[in-house]
Amino acid sequence: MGFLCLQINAMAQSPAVENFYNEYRHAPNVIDLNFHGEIIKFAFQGEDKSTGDLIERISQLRIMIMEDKNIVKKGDYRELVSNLKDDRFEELMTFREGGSDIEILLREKGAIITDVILLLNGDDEFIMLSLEGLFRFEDLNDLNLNIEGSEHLQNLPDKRKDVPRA
Amino acid sequence: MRTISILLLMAILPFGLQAQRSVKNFYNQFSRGEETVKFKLPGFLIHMGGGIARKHIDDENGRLAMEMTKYIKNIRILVVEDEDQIERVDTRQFLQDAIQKDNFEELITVRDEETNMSILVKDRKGKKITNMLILVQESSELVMLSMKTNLKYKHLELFIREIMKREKIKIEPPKDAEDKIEMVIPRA
Repeated sequence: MGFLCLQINAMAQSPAVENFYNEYRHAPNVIDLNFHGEIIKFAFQGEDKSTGDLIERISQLRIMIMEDKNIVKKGDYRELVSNLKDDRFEELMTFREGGSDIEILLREKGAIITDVILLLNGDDEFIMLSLEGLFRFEDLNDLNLNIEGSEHLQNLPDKRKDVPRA
Repeated sequence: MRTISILLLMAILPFGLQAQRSVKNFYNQFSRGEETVKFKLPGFLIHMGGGIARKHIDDENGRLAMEMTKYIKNIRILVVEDEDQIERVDTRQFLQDAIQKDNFEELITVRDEETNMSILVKDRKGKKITNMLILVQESSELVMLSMKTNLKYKHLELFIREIMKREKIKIEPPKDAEDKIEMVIPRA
């Protein structure tokens, strides 16, 4: 019931994310994919029950990918992260992998996570993965969507208290 | 009571007429010509055409697509191959207007350097799709399909899953974090 009550509010995307997408989505070498939750359900139905239940709770998945060249200006990136924090996102984890900096941010309503943002910022690539839905923390590392960038969510531990702090 | 009903109808009628103004405005920007095709079709003609076409199409996916035409109530089609006309229009603004003013919702958007494809829908209580807007734009061609439909999400789901089954589209799990995963579509 708690999930149902939160569903309507979960649909509103962060203005910080929207503005950033609008700034870069039409640039050359940028791939922009946006999927409504219904489409994700169609594509992933038939998986085991626990994955299926998780997929049902995704309302939107959006990915912006820059391959071969990262054209995001440093100032724009810093502004994005700063605006996300102003918009109630919390930085969960930051790590470095394969020469790229990866940040995972969350937005929550009580114990329910309504938004997940994964940012991969490298010299030759940039990925912004934005997921909206209704999740528990332990769901996040089970989100095996087989989409560019989503594999980094598997670095998250099962429990929030096990997230490494600097 | 009758007076109240008439007044209520007069109050809501303008909203009904304004529905999909963004689509009409976009459609009207283009003039018919050698490189621009635009027309509207009522549902019964689509069903008839779909039924006939099904018998003559060899491709299984094509036949499946023709079966879906039974859910279309009417369709407005626009095909533009005039690069000058394509360059002049602002499809971003059109899609934004469709979402913000006409209450469409983005179902899928796929955009890269060469192609811009968006499917927007309006639905009723998350169960039935009442309107569907498909826009595909490349540098040399623009196609817009605007449909009133009687399509349920489960019909769309069955259609997509059937296509995926026929095409044997698989989504393979990553072997490791370095592995870039793509949908595997076997070539014929």
